[in-house]
This record gives sequence, C-alpha cells and structure tokens, in this order.
Amino acid sequence: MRIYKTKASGGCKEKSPIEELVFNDLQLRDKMINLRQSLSVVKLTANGENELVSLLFKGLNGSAYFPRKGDNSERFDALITFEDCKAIAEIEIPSSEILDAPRNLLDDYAVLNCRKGEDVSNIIPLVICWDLPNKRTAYWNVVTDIYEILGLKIKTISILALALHYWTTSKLDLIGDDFYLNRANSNMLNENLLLKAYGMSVDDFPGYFTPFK
Amino acid sequence: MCGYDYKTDAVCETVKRIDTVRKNGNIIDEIIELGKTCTEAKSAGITKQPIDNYTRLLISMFKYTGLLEENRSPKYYKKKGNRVDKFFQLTEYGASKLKAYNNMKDLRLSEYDKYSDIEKKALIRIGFYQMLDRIGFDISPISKQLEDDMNVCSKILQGKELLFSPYQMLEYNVVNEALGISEPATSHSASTIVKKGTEHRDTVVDTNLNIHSLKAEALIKSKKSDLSKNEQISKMLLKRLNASKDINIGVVEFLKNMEKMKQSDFYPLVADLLGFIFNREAFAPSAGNNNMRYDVMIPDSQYSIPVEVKSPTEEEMLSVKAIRQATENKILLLARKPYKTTYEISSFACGFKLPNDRSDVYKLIDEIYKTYKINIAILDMETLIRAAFYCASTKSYYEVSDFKNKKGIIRFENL
Repeated sequence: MRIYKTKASGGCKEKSPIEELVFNDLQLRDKMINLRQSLSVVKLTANGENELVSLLFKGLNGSAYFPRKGDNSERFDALITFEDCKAIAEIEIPSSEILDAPRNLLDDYAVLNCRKGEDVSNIIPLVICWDLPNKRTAYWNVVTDIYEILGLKIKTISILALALHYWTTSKLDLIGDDFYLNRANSNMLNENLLLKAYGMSVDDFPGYFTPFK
Repeated sequence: MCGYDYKTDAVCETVKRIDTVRKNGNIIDEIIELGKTCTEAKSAGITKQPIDNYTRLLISMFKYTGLLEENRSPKYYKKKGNRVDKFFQLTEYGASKLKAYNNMKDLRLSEYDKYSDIEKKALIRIGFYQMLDRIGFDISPISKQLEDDMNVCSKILQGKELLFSPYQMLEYNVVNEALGISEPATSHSASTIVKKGTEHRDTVVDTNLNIHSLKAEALIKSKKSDLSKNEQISKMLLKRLNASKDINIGVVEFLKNMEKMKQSDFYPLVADLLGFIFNREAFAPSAGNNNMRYDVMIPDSQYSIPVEVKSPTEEEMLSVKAIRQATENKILLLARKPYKTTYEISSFACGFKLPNDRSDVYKLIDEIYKTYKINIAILDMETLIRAAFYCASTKSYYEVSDFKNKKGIIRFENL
C-alpha cells in the first residue's frame, strides 16, 4: 500500500509526470510537441488521463469531477464545470474506441437527466480525445446524425487543443460552435487562428486540430 | 461472520489514537504510521487489502448488520467446475429495512437550506434522535422536546420519519448548538483539524433502490396468413417441432444448439427467425458496412426496425451496451433513411437471455424514452423461438406496425 503525502504537509514536492507535461519551461511549440509525444506517459501514470484533464480544466478556471467507482448512476468519465456552463464528458485516450463515445454520451446524458434531477438542457456533451478521428470515419456521421435527429450537439476537443488554450491563457468556449465538429466541418477554426498568432499552423500538428486525413 | 472482527480493545485503541492525532496536528505522518501498524498487525485480521479496497468494508458491513446474506445458487450463476459463484441476497430483515427507509422523508441539503432557523434546529434534533431511536437508544428523556419539534416540522415531515444525519451533512458546531451540547474548551482547536473539504454536491446519489424494477412490456398480437415468404425456415421449424413432439422440448433443444454460436452463425439465424415471424426478408448486413451498423434489419415500406444482436458468446444476457447501440441504430436509421421508418417505432435489442430484474437495462430503456422519446424493445431467444414455433404451427405472423410506441420486453400474444 502506498499513502501519498499531500503537498500541504511540506514534505516531498516532486512534480508528477503529468505535471511535468503541463508545467514546464519549454517554449509553446516544444511544450506541444512534448505533450504530443507523451501518450505513453499519460497512459502509464496511474490515473494519468484524469489528472491531465483535471489540471488543464483547472487552469482554464473550470473544474473536473470524476465519478465514484461503482456508482452505476454516474456513467460519464468526467463532469466539467465552468462558471457559465457545464459539460458531461467521455475521455478517449487514446482515441481507438472513440466511435463508442457518442452513444456512451447519449446514455450518460439520459441517466443524468433522469436520476440526478439535473437540468440537462444546458449541459454540453463533450468528447475529450487524444487525436481526432479520420475524416471518413463513421464518427463524424454519427455526431451529425445525432444533431439532426435529437438536436443535441456533441462537441469534440483534443487534449492538445485544450492544452493550447491553457498555455496561451485564451478562453475556452464550449457554449458556441467552436468545438461542434461534424461531417461538414471537422476542423477547429479558432485554434487555427490561435496557432497562427503564435507563429504556428494546424499543419504542424496533423490529427490534433484537424483530422489527419 | 464477515471478514472483520470488531475486537473491542483494538477499536478502543484505534479510536484513542485517532483522537490523539487530531489533537497533535501532524496528521499525514500519523496516518502513515497507522497504515503501517494496520498492515503489520496481522492479529487484528486487518490486512493490506481493506485499506485501499474500501468497497470490501462496505460489503462486510452489509453482512455484519444482517441486511445482506451470502448465497450460492446455480439458478443465477453457472457452475464453474464444482464451484458456483456466490452472491449477496437481501435478507428479510434487509427488505423490511429497505421498505422502511423508502418510506422515510429523505432530507437533502438543498431542501434543508430553504427552511427557517427554527425549523432547521428542529430538523437536526429530529434527525439525530430518531436515528438513536432506530438503533435502540432510549429517547424518552427528550420526548417532550421531540414532540414540540415534530409540531414545528409537521408540514415538512407529513407524518413520516426523518432520514437525515446532521453530523454528516452539517458543520458539527451547528449540530452541537441545536442539540444543546457545549463544547469542552480543550477539544479540537481549529488549527488541528484538516481543512474541511466540501463534498461535491452537484450530483445526488440515487437512493431510490428499486429491487423489482419496473419492466415495461410490449404485447404483440398475431395475424393469420396463408403465404409464408420463408418456406425453408418454416420447414425447418416444423421438422424440429415434429422431432421433439413437445414444444417445450423443442425450445430447449433449439436453445442448446444456439448456446455456443458465434456472431457469424448467430446473426443470420436471428435474422431468419425474425424474418419468419414478421413474414418478410430480414437480413444481417455484411460486417464493415458503416452505413448499416445494425446487426439485423427488418425492412418495411413504412416501419422498418433495426435490430442490435448479441450472440451468446458475446454476452449471455443483454447489457446496457446493447441498449446504447439500439439507441444509436435508431438515430442512424432515421437520419440516413436507407429504409423507411418512423420515430415512434421501436428499435430492437436481441440477446440470448434477458437481463436480471435488478439490471440497469430496464431503467435505461425508460430513461432513454424519457430523454429522447426513443422506444427500445428487447427480446430473448426463448421468446423468439416460441414465437417462431407458434407462427410455423398456426401459419400466422406478427405485424411490424404493432411496434409503434412499444418499449421494454417483447411478449407475443398466445405464448
């Protein structure tokens, strides 16, 4: 058994591998390249995905809540809260099972609606992924179909896009259509502008802001 | 009994120790020490496991309090060699407790906050003393006070007993004040207490335990028909029926043949049987066709039904995963319209067996309907086989249009 010391106790203050990825002195471009190469670090660190998601949202003035293990009534991977909005999220790191994410979200959303007495009309279903699915995969069709039939916009954001907002301290707009990527448009347009402002381009990171192919 | 023995000495010692820790302040180090001693203290019967696997503690509590008991029955779990997995069963005492708790007034913080100070204090007292009463304390010394408080809160409680644990929900000094407990000057000075965390209260734990879940059922009637579009299947079914003489034996035999089937054999068979009972050509789209992700399609000029199939080798009983897929199937079919359908026609999930009564599946079907107005209907192989035998022997069939607004377990008439 291991008991982890809290930072408050003043003892060891070593950064976790995940904190190393987020808080470091690298240049923005290098930070991004470093994070992109660190899928194995995230996967091999205990609870790494949740820690990363939690750190990034916290840095963006939000918070992430992860469900208690074994509670059938909290099936989502994370509940993200900002001052002005709330999102129910499925975390797909790596993105290999991302096709299941929209249908899981529909389930999460229905359960949240019925069992938690929560007003879901303002809750944003969100897929947090490592990289975006390719253009011709069924994912974009499913997301588009769900909007067409249920009027529900499932939004998609990559970890790298999330980190870019954190590192550049630019506001993350989950309410608007910035991250509503679908069959017609699966490119993150605002992040393209943001990267340009820092002398980079989405093409430097294929697959993370636009589908790889 | 359960895995933990509550040896009084050990408990007292631990309590004393925790108390000292609270007063001394350096909590983290003490916890580490305590953890070490617990791990080493084999005699206490506490091994490493319970400390990081705290669900065990809860489970043992359930047993210790007599709410649950262990049972083994091949009725619910298959025999594995000589072994049958054990499971927990609600005892009669547990069931009566559950019923009693369900009848209580469940007071949550959001509601508590709305009341006046006088009501709040009364609620704290009622909650605390009724709790003591339930575990067998004599509360007659404060019966007058309790009566007054009940009068104050009569509208809130409406004659029900209160389920509210004030020390867990509120700051302890607020509770102490209401109970008239003045704090000894020496105990817990603020600096020795770990900063109180605020629990995440955005989501409420669902306490509405429904042991016999409400299972919606869809009852479907049959129609007479002279023509069968599936002569071959009809012959196969009649042959099976004749060979086994009795319909029940026929069903059991058929199920036995299915039990080991993999997807590649099972899906087309289910398609054939569904096609047969609905008197049309149902089919299993070839794997890899992204636009037809349903496992089987029952086509119709107006009311086509997508079917999610789970073979017995995938999962013996239908799970929530199948329900999710059935929901998605319906959305995809409505959006892409390769076959015509309407919103209110059910989407099927078809498995070897139906889930147990306590399964989340039934709840989810309800919740999917409440949230999206999509009807999911589920079907097990025994029902499907019986329906097929019935249709074959009586030359009748079922109508897909009968599945308008039908959700839950599919039951065919005359079976």
